[in-house]
Amino acid sequence: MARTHPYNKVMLGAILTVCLLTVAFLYVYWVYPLPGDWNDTVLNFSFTFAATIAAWIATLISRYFKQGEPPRRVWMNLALGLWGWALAELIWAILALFQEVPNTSWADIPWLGAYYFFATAFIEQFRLIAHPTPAHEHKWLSIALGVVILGAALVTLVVRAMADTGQTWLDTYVSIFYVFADMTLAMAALKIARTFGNGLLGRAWIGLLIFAISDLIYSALLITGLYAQSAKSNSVLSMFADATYFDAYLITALTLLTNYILYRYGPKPIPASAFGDPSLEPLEPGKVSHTDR
Amino acid sequence: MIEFFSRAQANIARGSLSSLRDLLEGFRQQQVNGVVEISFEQREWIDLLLLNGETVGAYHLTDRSSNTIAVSNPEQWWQGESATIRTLNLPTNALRIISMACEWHPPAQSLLIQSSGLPGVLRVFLENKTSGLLHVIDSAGELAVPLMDGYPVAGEAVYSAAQMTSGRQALERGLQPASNNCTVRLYEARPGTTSFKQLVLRQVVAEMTGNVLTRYNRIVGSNLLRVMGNEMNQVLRYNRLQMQFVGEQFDNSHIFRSMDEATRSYNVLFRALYMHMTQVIGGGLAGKLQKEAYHNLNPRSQVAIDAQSILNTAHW
Repeated sequence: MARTHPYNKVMLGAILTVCLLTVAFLYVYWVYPLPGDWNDTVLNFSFTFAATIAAWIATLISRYFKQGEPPRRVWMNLALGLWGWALAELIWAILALFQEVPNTSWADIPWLGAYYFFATAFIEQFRLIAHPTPAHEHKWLSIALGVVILGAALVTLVVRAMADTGQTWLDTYVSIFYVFADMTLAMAALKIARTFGNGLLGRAWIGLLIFAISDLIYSALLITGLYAQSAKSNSVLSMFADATYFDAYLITALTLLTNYILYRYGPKPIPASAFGDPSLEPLEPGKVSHTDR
Repeated sequence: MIEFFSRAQANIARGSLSSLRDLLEGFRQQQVNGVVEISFEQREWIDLLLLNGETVGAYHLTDRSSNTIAVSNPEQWWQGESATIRTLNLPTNALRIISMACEWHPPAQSLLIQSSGLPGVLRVFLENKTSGLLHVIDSAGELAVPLMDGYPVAGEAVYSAAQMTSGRQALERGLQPASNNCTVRLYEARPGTTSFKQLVLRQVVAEMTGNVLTRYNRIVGSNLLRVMGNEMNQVLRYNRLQMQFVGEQFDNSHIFRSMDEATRSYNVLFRALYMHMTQVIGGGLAGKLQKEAYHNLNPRSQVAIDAQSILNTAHW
């Protein structure tokens, strides 16, 4: 009997797990069931956990390529970027054990550094699917960098001029930088996903779109002073921002999982009989062809 | 007589039309691939090409001519006298060579040269952009390889010595004659013949699939390329096509009875390729890969593939 393709089964299980984890996250955030600071600690480390899952799946995918294979560069860089974020989440969670973490902290180094790897992954992927000329590539890279660095600076000026954020210039700039960087990645991800169309390889990039939304909410709350680091504050907005952020990692892990299954098991097989041309005298099912070698 | 693969193990016997009928019936039951050569006294021959036991080609040959004859009425070309019947089991690659030789018979050139002069002869063919079938015979073995615009088609080369080899290895072996002298024969290609049209189409399809597979491999990696190859090979087996995907290469040793059958088969192949790639990289990119591969072909190959309804350009 033919083995059924595990895609539907695995993905259903994974989606249910993501739903359960989200419910558990919201439960801890809102009900605060654990003693003392344990609730915040669990919530903070849950980001590390989710980021690690995403990074781990990306790493597993990268292991399906031999040294020197072009897609390996895409997946290695994507995995390194996600590991950068996982490390950042870990540093942030550890810092949060001892103090209220400042808006700009040591955690921002791997957070920002990860964008280098993401950008490299995107560039490598574009090179493979679109064959851009060096001039074309240079142009779009310059536009993207310009938009992220200068756009974030411009919006920082505007925000600082309009309101007293209570933040340092660096804090405001870094918060806004994340939004611009995520938006740029999201647009690049959208472009890649659209190029792949209905192909399974496009799905992995969709997860990164969610970060643009979650970081936008987070930065807006941070700049306006509405973000509360502790779940104790009972801030619905903070809970929404944190849950979106938590789910961004999990959705990224889910979309990566679709590609892991693809590399592990291949796409769902199309039966050979779907391509049977009666004029070519196709084999009857179960018979061995004389052309078998 | 075509005189190909003289070192291959052959059965030679004298017989009549009725013994030929018995022989062919036996080959049909055993689904034999090979050739039956019937030599008559008056320097004329009949060559029958067998594919899976079925006669797919029949040629009446003399020193100066070659004509296709009807298989169904052997009485028309064999009237009574006994003749020498030489039967030879051959792989399909070798069978294709015989088919070309029969259709392009007699040889346009036949030279006895020093082996050291072989590169020079090949250079002349290259300069003249010769298309045809090159047959090199020396004391150790014989090489048969089609030429397209002067270039040997390595994938279709057959070298026959104690054993028969095919492909690039056969070409390399055959171009290093073991003895001082060798005979070089050239059967010039006749563009109107089925074997030439199919040779051109095979080359174009091989080049086109090679281009697609190389690009697909770069995007998805060797793991998913192998998965696609396996699925494509199932489709090919299902349709009883003697072709297979090996990495980025497409091996094709199938013999088609007609151009129509070839067109339908290659159409199935490209449709299956497109469908599989669509699942992984999406329809837009899969179509783009085929379009790129098409545009990378030289204009003559584009014309050859356009002449058949092989590609579904609606995907582009």
